[in-house]
Amino acid sequence: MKRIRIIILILVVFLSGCWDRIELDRRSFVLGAALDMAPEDNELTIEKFADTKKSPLFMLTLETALIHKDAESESGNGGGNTQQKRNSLLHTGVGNSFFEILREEAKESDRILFFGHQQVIIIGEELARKHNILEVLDFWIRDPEVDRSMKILLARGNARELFNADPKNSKYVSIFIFNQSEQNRKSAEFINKDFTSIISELTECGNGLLGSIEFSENNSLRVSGSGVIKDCRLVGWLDGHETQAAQYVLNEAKGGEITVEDPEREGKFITVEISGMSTKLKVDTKNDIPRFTIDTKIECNITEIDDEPVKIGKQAIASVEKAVSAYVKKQIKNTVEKLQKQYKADALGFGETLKKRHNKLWKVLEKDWDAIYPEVPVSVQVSTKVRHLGRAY
Amino acid sequence: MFRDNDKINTEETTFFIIASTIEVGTLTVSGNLAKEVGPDAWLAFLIGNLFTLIAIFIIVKLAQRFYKHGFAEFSRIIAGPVIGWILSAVLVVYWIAVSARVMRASTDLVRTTLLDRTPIWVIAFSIMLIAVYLCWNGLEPLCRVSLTTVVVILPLITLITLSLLSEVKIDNFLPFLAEGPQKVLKSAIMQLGDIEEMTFMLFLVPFMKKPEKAMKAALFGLYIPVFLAFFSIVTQIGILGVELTKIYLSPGVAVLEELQLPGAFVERLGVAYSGLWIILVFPTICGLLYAIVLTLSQMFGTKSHRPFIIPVVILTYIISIIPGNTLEFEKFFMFLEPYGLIVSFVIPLLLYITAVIRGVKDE
Amino acid sequence: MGLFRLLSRKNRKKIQKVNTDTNVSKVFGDYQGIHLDKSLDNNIKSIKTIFRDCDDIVYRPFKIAKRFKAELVYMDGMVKIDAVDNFVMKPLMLEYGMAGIEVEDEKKAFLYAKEAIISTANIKESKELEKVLHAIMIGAVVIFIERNESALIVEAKGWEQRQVEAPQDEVTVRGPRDAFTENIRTNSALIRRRICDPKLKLKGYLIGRRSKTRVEVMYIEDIANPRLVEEVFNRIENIDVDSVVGNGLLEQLMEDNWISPFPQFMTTERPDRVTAALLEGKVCILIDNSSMVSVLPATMNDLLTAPDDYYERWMVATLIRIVRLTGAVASTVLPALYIAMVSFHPEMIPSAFALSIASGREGVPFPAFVEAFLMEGSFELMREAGIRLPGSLGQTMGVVGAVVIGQAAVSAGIVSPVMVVVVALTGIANFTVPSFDVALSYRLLRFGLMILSAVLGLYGLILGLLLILSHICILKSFGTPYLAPWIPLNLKDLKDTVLRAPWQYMSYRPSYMHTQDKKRSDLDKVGEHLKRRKGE
Repeated sequence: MKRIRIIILILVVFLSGCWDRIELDRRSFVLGAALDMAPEDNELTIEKFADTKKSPLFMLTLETALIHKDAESESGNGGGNTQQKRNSLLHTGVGNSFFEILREEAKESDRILFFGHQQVIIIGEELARKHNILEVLDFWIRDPEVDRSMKILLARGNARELFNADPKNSKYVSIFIFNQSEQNRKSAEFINKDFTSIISELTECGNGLLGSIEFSENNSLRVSGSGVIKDCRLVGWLDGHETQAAQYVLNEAKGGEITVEDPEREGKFITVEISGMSTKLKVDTKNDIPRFTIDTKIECNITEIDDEPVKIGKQAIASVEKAVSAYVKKQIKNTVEKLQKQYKADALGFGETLKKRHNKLWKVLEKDWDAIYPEVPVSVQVSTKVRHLGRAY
Repeated sequence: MFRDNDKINTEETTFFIIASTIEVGTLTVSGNLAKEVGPDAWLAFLIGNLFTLIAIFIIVKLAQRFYKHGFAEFSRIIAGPVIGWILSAVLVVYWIAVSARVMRASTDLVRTTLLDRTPIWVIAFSIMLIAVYLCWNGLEPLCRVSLTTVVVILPLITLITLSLLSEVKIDNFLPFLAEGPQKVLKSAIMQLGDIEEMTFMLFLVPFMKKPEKAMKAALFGLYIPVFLAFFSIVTQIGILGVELTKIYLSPGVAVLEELQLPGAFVERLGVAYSGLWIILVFPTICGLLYAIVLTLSQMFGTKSHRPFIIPVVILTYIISIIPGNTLEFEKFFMFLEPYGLIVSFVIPLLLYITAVIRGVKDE
Repeated sequence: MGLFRLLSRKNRKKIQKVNTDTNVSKVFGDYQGIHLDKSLDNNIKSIKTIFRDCDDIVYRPFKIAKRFKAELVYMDGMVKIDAVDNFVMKPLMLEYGMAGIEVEDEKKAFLYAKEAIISTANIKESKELEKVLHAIMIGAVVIFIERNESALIVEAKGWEQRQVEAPQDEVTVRGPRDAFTENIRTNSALIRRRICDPKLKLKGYLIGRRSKTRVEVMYIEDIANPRLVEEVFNRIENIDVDSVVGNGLLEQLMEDNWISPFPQFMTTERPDRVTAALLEGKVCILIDNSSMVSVLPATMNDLLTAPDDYYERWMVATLIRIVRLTGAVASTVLPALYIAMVSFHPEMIPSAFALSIASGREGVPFPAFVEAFLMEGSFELMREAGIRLPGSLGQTMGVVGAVVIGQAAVSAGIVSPVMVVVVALTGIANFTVPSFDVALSYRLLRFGLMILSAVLGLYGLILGLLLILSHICILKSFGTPYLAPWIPLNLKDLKDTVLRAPWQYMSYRPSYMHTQDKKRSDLDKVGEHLKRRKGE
């Protein structure tokens, strides 16, 4: 009897509350976050911080899912309604830290914000240039609820406006952006990395490339190119082709296409699709001066040729290979030079390679690396092999 | 001497030791090692575990020499009642501290991954109640539970860990031995005190049906978790990079987010993964509890181990909530490393030498 | 051998073994030791006093060979009147003197009647009143002859009973279709037919002070572990109740652990299952007036196997067992998992699915666990109702209930559609478990897990599973660990758990039974014979 009484006592204590239970319909799913600098003339800014001298730093826009009951959305409201039904809500707030902004926004919401299904974080250009990205993302690194398979993208311009785009097939803009990034994984003109790898890269050396996204015509979004990060701040942009070249150097390109002019016939173009690529970054440390050699091997398939089929012979293929090699070499050289001279950002991992493989030399050069890097000699070698011609000769 | 005359066979011993050794430490050890030795953490870990081989050898030899008695009894035989009692008390205090640390680490894990707002005492007491229920009934059910959890959960976790290997970037392990081998060796030696559960052999041998197989059981029992931990460290540092591993509280869970199962039904396995680890922590908590109460009952000469269970559990809980936050927690339990060295290595060695000199053993 | 523990942890009074050679243990205590009288009238008077107000006892006075007074006493409805008429009354009354043997007095008459005249197969003689009373109660005919201290007891049982029919609950596709009935003798005959071995022993008891139900223990002497058998005898003899109605009561009185939600006996109505169990070294208990037979010891594995597994080929059987195991686990865990994922950890659900679950739950007034409890509760109600309703109406009720009420509930906004799917799946999964009592245990545990996961989410669910696991590991059924052969891990025995190994590999009996005769057969040699033939 005594045992049963003890058990009941224990059970009563446990059933006294379920502290973590938040019903699914009491949660507001945050799908995407856009981080920007707080503009000084914004109404929110003036309204909330009128009494302080300093204006707040950050503006955070969240896209949350607006859940409709299924039955409603099917019946009645369809019909001739061509206007897109609103599926997501946008909340915007300003403040000095992102968590503060979240608390502010929570006051206007009837549900608890839930970050477990967040798809993307978009960082506005101005914010990325002025602030350390790791500091900006600190909230997302710490919070245990946050799901870290989301994507981090840079916006050319204001991140907030991107959420006004047309999500087309998806119901929500964030999911559209996420899927867009996934789908473009193979394009090589865009950097598709998830949260953990980006944070890992930034914590290791502070330099890297982040994919970028911009508004294009027809109210739609375009993912192309990347931003160059130096010391966790944005310093410049690379366009699509340059990003592709950078991906070659980083040995991370998973596909992509190259269009070259046919060297034999002027005005005619050949398009090849990259099926495999490997790059070795070699360092020659004679005399304590690092000399980098980028050695790229490309395998490709001819996908489109501006000519009748059956006309391609062995020499033609050889010349295609040469043309592709030349093109890629030029691209890589241009990109490396841009990164070295214009941005002075070691986004391709040269310093890291020294640190890892030639540690003694690195220890010597480490302090002055910022000055040494722009002058480091880099040579490029590219060789191409055409594997397939598709279904036709 | 033994309440139930229950004897366990070699496999059960092995699985019991495996289940007790695996606890949430595997998820966090890479962070600590990374802080000490950087990308060479895997090397430090391997060498450290080679050192533990020596300690295991001594402990098992000592326990086998007195295969009919548990630690409290044979320390009394070797060193006299007073010193023997003190040594047993030292061991018991060590185990209590270890179980407080395990308790705290697992409730922290649960709080950060599974349940945010639930008070700590609820999380701790619920698992301790079940541990009390299991320990009430002796060693055999405990071994059975260990066996089940290991056989079911360990392959899953191993599979997950090994499938993460494909995402590892070898670059993260360079530079290799950048600052020379001293740091690595120093860290390796300190690891001698890290595998607390090898001291379990000190009381397990009398329960075994075939005490001569104790060495085999101990080796398997300790090196399978080491194998798992090694691959965990490799995947964690390999995927996250050294710096990020230092940052994260629990790199083991963070690394799960990289896992991509084709057509996965459940995404974000981090949560479910923590759940699996809780299942593996449970035999650890029970094993430690049983070790403590058994040795206490042998020290005080009581017939059954049951009266000690509840006071020990409450004491463990109180100690586990003393440190305020994570940093304090690590500082507070820092003393376990040298303490563990003494208990696992020094004391058994001294006892063994004394036993050989005095020529005492069980026939 | 430490695994095999005879006595359970609970205190059991060690009572000295009762002399059971007459198979009547302390039941007619009131009348113990009273002997019959020499005078017929006195005897009849005592019988009539004891059976006063029992108007279904028939008294038939008659004269043997026209000379000796005798009386026939029997209970109406329990005897075969034809047998009594033809083989008792007729010879005694009519043919007695025909053989021409001179019978001088009643004593010789008695002897002559017993040995030469009454031509029934089963006849006994007794001096004790309690045996006579018992005989009348169980459908024998008692003959008192004047001036004899003994009475003749003639077996003439005959009453209305059910024929051997197909089993109700345990249906197989391939196996035999006879099931046990309420008559204990028919049941033991069904088993005897399948094991034609004199080593198959049967020991009878009369349990229950007022019911005096016949309980029989069957086992194979050179296979079953003698300590197990002895323990069974001990426990049966220590039962002291008014009546044993059905085998449920007997099981619950003999169990190791009556608090546990898990049954420690396997109850079956199929003779082939009992036969297989006996051949593995188990002991079975038959109870009169109960069409179920209890088999002990039972392990979790036994409770999850169906007889069809052994009649099908091994690959098919293995696959079906996996399905069944999944069903058993799902029926316990699924609703709790749903509650944990929806209320506590929505991040575990894939994004698109999570959003659609959320839209399904929009407008539902209850939290997830209340919803789950409501739906599960209604499902249980429907199931109980379905059992009460006769025949086909019950089936329709089940379908109607599930579909219509579920759909209506969703439209009314009381529950979300996903919940209906979860509950339906759980209910169906529960039906895959072949043993009814274990299925009930899973239902019970399901509610416990739901409560735990409602309070502590996935952590609560895990704790619940750990608690169940601990309990199962502690549980023993007559000394056999409940989770054998998984724990203790014996790889050879695993051949018959999830996997059902080909018969070629099943030569050895399960080792956790600690049988005396280890080898079942030399089936592995069958394979060799086939190999040799192929090589020719």
